[in-house]
Amino acid sequence: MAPLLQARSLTKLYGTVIGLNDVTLELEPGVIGLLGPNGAGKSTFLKLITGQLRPTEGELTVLGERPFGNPRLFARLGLCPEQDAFYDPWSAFDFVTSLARLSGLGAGARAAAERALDRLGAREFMHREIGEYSKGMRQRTKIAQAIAHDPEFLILDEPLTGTDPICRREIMDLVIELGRRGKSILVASHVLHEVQAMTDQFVLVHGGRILASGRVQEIRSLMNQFPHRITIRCDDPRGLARAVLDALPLDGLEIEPARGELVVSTRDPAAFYAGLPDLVQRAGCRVHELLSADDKLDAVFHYLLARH
Amino acid sequence: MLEILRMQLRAMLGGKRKWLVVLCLLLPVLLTVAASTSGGLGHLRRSLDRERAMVPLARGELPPTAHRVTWQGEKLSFAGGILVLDEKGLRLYGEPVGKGTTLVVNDGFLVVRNGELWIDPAKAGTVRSWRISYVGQDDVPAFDTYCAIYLFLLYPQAVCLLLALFYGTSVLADELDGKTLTYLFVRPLPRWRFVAGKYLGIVASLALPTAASLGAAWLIAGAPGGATLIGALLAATLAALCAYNALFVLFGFLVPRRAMIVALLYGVVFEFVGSFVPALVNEFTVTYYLRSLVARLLDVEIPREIARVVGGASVPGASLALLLITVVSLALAARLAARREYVVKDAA
Amino acid sequence: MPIAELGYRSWQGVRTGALVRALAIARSEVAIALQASKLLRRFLILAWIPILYFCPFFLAIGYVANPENDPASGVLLTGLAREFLGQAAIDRLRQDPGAILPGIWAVAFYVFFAYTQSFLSMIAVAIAGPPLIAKDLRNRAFLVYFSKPIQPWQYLLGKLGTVAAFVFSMTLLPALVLYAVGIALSPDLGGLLATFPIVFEIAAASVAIAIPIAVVVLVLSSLTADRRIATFGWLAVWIFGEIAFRALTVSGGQPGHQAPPWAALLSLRELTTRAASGIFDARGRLELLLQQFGESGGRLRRTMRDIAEGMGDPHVLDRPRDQVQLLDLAGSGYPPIVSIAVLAAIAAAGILFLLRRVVRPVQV
Repeated sequence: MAPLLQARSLTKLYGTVIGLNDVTLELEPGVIGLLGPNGAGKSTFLKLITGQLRPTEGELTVLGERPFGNPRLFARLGLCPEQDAFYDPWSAFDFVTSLARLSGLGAGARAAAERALDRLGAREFMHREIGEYSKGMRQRTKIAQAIAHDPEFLILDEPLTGTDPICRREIMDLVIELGRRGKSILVASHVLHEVQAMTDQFVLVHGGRILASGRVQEIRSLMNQFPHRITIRCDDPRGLARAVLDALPLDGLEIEPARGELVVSTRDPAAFYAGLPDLVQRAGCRVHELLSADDKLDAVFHYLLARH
Repeated sequence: MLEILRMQLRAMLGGKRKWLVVLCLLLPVLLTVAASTSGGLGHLRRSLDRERAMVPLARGELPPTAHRVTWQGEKLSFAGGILVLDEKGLRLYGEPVGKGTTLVVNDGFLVVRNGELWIDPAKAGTVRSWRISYVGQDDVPAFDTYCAIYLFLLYPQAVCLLLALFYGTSVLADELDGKTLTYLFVRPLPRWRFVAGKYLGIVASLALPTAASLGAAWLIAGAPGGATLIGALLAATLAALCAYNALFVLFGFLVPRRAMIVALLYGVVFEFVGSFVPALVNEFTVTYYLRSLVARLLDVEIPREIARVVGGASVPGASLALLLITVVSLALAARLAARREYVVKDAA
Repeated sequence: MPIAELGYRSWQGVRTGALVRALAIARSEVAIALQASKLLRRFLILAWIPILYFCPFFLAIGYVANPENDPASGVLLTGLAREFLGQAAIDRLRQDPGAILPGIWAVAFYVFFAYTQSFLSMIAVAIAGPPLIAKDLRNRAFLVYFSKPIQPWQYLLGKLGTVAAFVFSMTLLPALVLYAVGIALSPDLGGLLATFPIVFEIAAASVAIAIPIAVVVLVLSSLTADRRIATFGWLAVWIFGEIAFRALTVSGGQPGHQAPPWAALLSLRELTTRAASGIFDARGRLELLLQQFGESGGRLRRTMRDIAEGMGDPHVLDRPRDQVQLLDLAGSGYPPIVSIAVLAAIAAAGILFLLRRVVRPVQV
């Protein structure tokens, strides 16, 4: 079986600005997270993969074919682009049907569109104008058009932005299920824990370069060197501090009584979150706010960059 | 490709956008109403009615000291001797002028009837000088020719150019500005089909309304020239829609974000000014061939001196040229579409 | 230890004046437009090309009008002047430059404004004008603007100033350069005093062209969030107006056609041309010049005839003096002041519309 994607010295220049810098990479089929901060080159990479851009240098094959100007390949690809753009006066059903026809579905297009929209829980609103949709409904429509023609390789660019928790959960489940059914999926995101919930395979991009790729365990072990900071605003930070100190895995703990805040650092946030509700209840304190800066990924990037 | 065409039809004729087309095609009809009541069209019709009541003008009555046209004995000569009356009869540009010829002068008009000059009785005593501004073969063809010129300038020239200026240049820009191009360019569809589908969608959705608008204007003008005239104008209008839209689709792919202004500048410099330059340049304009087409189809007599300016191509020649402009423009646009990167701007 | 307050602090200093704030909008919009469009930058430079024709004219006329200059020594300039005016007119000009020079200049400026620059302005406005409000509708930038101490009228003034700045750069500015060329060549300061009112006429004509077309293009821009529809609207207003005006005024070869007086109202360009004619008093000054020059030939005379023909009276030079109805405007007969009034009315109505529109802009 051909690799899902193969890049050799892949470089993209916009004039004199580098979008992607000498990337050599091979990905096997499966669900893969493409992770990196904004402006890292994720978008450029995706546009190269989907044949919207032509490589300046190097070579790129997707499913064994060169993407630029290659309609044959596009029948096997599905793309959910980042931009929130539609033909606003249309309905989701018309939109997905039209695009399914363009994908060559012909007479089966309507049924395929209905199936895809149904799969994304869009049945009840799919005949209304897209212009009236909420962000989540628009996101579902975008994904529906990407899967309507049942592509082998699905590319999702920031699929979870602006969605509510329920919608997020459903999209994640969809990705997991499609992955289980043997589809390859590339999910681009700048939020680690979103992608972590869908796959354990990662590619880290930064500054137009691939910093690392591998399994989540490897990245996680890297991350474990950098504790996770959680800020809890509550009416009795001292009481809560006493309660969590022995019961939960902690690396550090600060109390800011003036602001009513308790700041903890932990290398095992999952265990911490799992144990917290019980302790709060037992301590009889009222939690107003739970803040967790997702700075772990940044820390990993800094660490990786420092090694170069 | 059929789906692209359908999408284009829907984009142009669905929703609020259709009012743009409606307005564009309603305006010229209203304009024709105004022109045939208060404008030159109505005036021409009224003066032709007046012509039927003309009286012969005695030769001696013409003043000898007129500034530009002089009457010496048997000879009526205009600046460069273009109009001559001698024993062979009245001749214009050396060609004999036949019965029913209308010579329009500044203060009234003269008509040649049976070798004599006739003039509007109200003007007979007051002619002091004149300038020939129009020479027509007969009164009815003169009116027809005027209507043909008027409708030609209005439809193939103005309306078609204006519609193409908007729709032709927007083929790519609409999708780029709306950031929807991504959806279309990642489909298993060669990009030339995208160009062709969009183009056919434009022409298909504009052809019928434009033809209907032209027909209405023609009827309002009094249905001049019969089926020949409206047929020639319909042909020119459809050819103009095809050629201008193809050309401007190409502009849309060359300079997507500035296509409309570039097309406007092209229109002013080439189609408006350049098409009247009797050199190689006007043979590269759409207008030149449209004019040739209408002139030949209507069999309008154009003085040899200006044939090269107005339009010298034959019907097959002009048709071929228009077809070539359309096909080559589309082919170049398709080639650009296939080779260039057209990407929507990032959300960030 | 004093602790600095880092939160929101209201501005304690003096605010700039209301007009300055409008100007800030105009300044940034001009910068954005110039930066975004290479085409616009090039076009603004190209729009100065007509000066290449007018500059030698002013140079030559200025040279021969100075009695101290020997016509024999400045052969090139004298030759040019003879080409423009004819020998008889030059002799007359040298006798009494103070009486004739302002007239020649005014007519030249009229041609410059009404025939070349107003046309080029229409195109420049088509490039720069349509996005001005449309993009704010698209990006919901009103929220940003009106969260600042900016009133709707200041916002509009800024946008108007943007369009006006481009139009002025191709009308007012080159005209002042031409005027400076003319003044630099006049024999003494007397020339400056005699022709100084022309500066005000230049400014007035620039305003008469710039403001109405700026208002119209902004109205179109405020009607849609899509700049291309606004551009198209502008072209349609322009081209259909032009055709309508022609269809109503051109006689179709038959003489004696009386165009309806409202024909000019349909064409924005025609209105600005007539307004410029009124401001420069083109008709009165042409009459005066004809009186002075008599039958003298030269290009000026031909130019005058071209103007007269353009305005519907080709025989103006053939008629005896008592019959001269110079520049009788295409049969309409009403004085140019009407055009100025109509333009003012269009501008006022447009501004009122825009003020109402930008107060509730989100309805698009």
